[in-house]
Amino acid sequence: MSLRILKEGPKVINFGIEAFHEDQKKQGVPSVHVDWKPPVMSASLMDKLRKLQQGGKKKI
Amino acid sequence: MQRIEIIRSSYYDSVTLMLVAKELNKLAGVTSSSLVMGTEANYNILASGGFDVEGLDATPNDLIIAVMGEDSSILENALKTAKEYIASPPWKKEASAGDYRPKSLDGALAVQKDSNIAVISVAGRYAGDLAMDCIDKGLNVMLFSDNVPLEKEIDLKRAASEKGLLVMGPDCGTVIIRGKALGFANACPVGPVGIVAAAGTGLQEVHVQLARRGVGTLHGIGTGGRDVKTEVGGITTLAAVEALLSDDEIGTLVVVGKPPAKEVEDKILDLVKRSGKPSVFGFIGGQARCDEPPVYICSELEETACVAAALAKGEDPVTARIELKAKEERLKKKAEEIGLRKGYIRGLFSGGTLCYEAQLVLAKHGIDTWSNAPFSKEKKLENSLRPTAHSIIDYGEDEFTQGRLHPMMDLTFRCERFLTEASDPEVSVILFDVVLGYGCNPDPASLIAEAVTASRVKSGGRIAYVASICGFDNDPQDFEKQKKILEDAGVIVCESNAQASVLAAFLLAR
Amino acid sequence: MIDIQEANKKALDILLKGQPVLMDMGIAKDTVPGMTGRTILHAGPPIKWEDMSGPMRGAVMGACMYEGWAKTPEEAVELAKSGEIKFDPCHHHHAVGPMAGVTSPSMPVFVVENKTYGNKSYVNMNEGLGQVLRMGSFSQETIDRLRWMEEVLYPNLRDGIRHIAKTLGGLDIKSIIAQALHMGDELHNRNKAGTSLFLRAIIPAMIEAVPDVKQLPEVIRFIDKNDHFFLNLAMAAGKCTLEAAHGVEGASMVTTMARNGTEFGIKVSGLGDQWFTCQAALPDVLLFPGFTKDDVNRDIGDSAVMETSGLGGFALAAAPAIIQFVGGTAQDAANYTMEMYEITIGENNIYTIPAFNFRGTPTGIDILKVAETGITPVLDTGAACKEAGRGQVGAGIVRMPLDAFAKAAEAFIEKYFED
Repeated sequence: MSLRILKEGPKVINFGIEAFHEDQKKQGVPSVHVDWKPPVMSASLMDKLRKLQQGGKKKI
Repeated sequence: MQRIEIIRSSYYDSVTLMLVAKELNKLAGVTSSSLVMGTEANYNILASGGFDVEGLDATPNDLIIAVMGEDSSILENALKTAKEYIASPPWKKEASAGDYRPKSLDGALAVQKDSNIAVISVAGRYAGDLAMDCIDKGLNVMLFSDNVPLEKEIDLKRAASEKGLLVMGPDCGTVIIRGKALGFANACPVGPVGIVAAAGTGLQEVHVQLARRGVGTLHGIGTGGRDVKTEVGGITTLAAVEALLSDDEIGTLVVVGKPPAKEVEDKILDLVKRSGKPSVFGFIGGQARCDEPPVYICSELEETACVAAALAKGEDPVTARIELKAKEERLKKKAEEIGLRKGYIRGLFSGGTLCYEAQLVLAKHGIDTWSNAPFSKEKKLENSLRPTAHSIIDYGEDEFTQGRLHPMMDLTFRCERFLTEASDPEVSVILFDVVLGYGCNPDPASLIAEAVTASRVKSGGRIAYVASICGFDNDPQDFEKQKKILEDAGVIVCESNAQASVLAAFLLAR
Repeated sequence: MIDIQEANKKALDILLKGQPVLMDMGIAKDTVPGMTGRTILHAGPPIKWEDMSGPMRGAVMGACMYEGWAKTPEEAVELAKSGEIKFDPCHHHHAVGPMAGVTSPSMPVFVVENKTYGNKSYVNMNEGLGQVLRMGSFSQETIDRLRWMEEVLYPNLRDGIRHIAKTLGGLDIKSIIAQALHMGDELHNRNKAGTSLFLRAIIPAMIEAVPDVKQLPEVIRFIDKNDHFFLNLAMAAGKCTLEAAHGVEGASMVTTMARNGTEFGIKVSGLGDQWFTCQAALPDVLLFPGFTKDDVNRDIGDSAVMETSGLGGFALAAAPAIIQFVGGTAQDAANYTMEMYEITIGENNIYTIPAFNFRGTPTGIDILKVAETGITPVLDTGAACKEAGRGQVGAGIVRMPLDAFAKAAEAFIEKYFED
């Protein structure tokens, strides 16, 4: 199996430590920093939501 | 006196909290301040910082603001200031105009449609679900976060595998792709080597040692420490090894980390032998084993790099090994010049693999060590904050990093330990690592030099300070400058972690 | 399990296909469904007299006196307390109202028809600024103006509108909104261009249709002096396009978003008639001189229908001039709009933003995205004084509260998730 990213080079979406995003930009790596916050809904609701969002796409 | 305030159900990233604490400490009359999430580990850290945490009922989702100072009005003001700074960070005054910062994965994908990797360093309890969302959207994932449950890791890697994607981590600190550093990594040249590493500083040390020998690396793929264990089955390691073996830009493969579970190791060796590509295994702490050229088995990091460099340059790896051994032997003379002494070695490490390797090298030289991350269970320290006899401590371990910055970014805690060890009259050698590169503190040498100087004053010259710098010329911190700062403070800087450990061993009179 | 994406696509599609056309005017009790003798409609979710804030109470009192049900403010209060008046949200009667949104039986209303789906919406006329009923004023000046609007403004406008309906099939409100958006309006806090375009259309029609053209100068002058006149029409247009998109099974799109000065409430396309409410936000706005933070009343008005239909705070990038008024930079305006793309189902087909290469405005608020990301809708709105009748105290950017969205998201997941 080949990994496309090894040929394309990294194009990053950065969650968390902003310093990483800055360092990536310094090296000319395309990077988008996400102003991420934890979800407001409980983990179990989020889990149901994910299944709900995928369930509709799986046509039986 | 102290004041503690709890802000319920709030989430702040640790960088912000650290910077706020720093600002609070600048206030007159404030002697100490700490902003941490209410995890058990942080309770201990607060307690060890002198705060009375009795009766505190903060949960891991709550923010604790703890301040110590001269009187109650100063502390009231400090608490008020803390909340202001959290809401409106004073160091961010010009932040407003500029690029839009999306607030969600979908938002980010709308801005950069050809994204191919998510770098995730949010709190572990959220990181897993976030990583799964990224995989669903077709992204590779570098999971820097630790404290991600094993079951989650297995789910993630299986899901990624089905889509031909990689999950690098959890607890993966270093990734290099086409020479670009993600996370903690050094600015080394690009070349025909591909590295697959279970551990961050293991990858960094090999990366740097190769560069010092004039050999560049194209890719360094981190797998996280649990990948090669039975439960995960080496999913990421095997995918990475396969990809590098079939990649025509890679002439030499290096696999480095603690020894894998037997069945995983067999699978890796099988792939490697069938491909016939020159490969070097650095099983740190592994059983001695015979090479089967073009496959070579090493047990230390510099040795691994040394053999791999020889292969890449078309030289004889056996000769290279012999020369390295000879170099280590010459350290005996250096130790005599510095002065042999009795007493204990204390290791203060920021890199996990470097800490591990140090223990192994010392053991090889007959020195048994305690550790908070020991290679044998019986030598585990009961209390990581109370080392005894010969002790080598990894300050990047979980008990030190929950809600705190990694010691490669924030050296405060480790620097305090130089002073603590200096007060122990039985300590005669302090062994440590200084890690440079992207993601790391901009000037670790100055901070450590200050700590060493203060420590020396306290210990009165009893202690020898031995270190290695995991860094290279082009690193943002300027390798030569960092080396000079350390040497000017009287630190003995060795060429590698292994050599520094050997020197520490030789310094003890028998 | 239901396909949420498909359902939302359908709901958004219905919203975007709506064609709101101004067809007629009438008196509320004859025109607005369910308007009995003693009904007072108001903005936002259902609320009892005891819970109403200053501006809402003042507006109710003013309406009682305008209707002749009470001769003094004290009598009006007694009447309001007595239970004789039926209070109901405008939204329950296919209507909307800005600020207090109080609509009483004798008030004239516009009739906007969604030509694509046949449903209608109603809204009263905008009184202008200062001592006005919708800010809670119950002064004689306010009541006199309401009477003049009923006796002079209304019949002339009605005749002009009917004339346009007969000769041109009606006045296309969506088209005016689309043009106004390119002329610096965002259609919530700034409606100057919309009002101007409306005047251009209505004047010739009135000249041709009214019995006594001598009344027209004061009619035209009244509208001309009121930069917000078009707001009410834009709101009714939003209301009738959104109503058609309500009731799509499995759709998590917000079809109603409104405040009553005490509570904030939303309704969701796939969640039936249920209101999801929480405390209304306390606007942190730029204050007009003479007012302090203590004067600000909680968020109030059905004007959030503008953001619900992809305008107002969701189109700030098209109206950067307004952001200066609220103390931000042009980049801030763009950033707010960029953020709203993250919580909406899609982009508008007709309302576009020139600065974004004519990209459609973010349209169709998705409660699930709001709950997932924690990003709440941004409104560009005015704030009323706590004390009835003192008018508007400021304007600015106000974030809607997350709680109602979280409740709605939870209800949605519980309803549609199948194990």
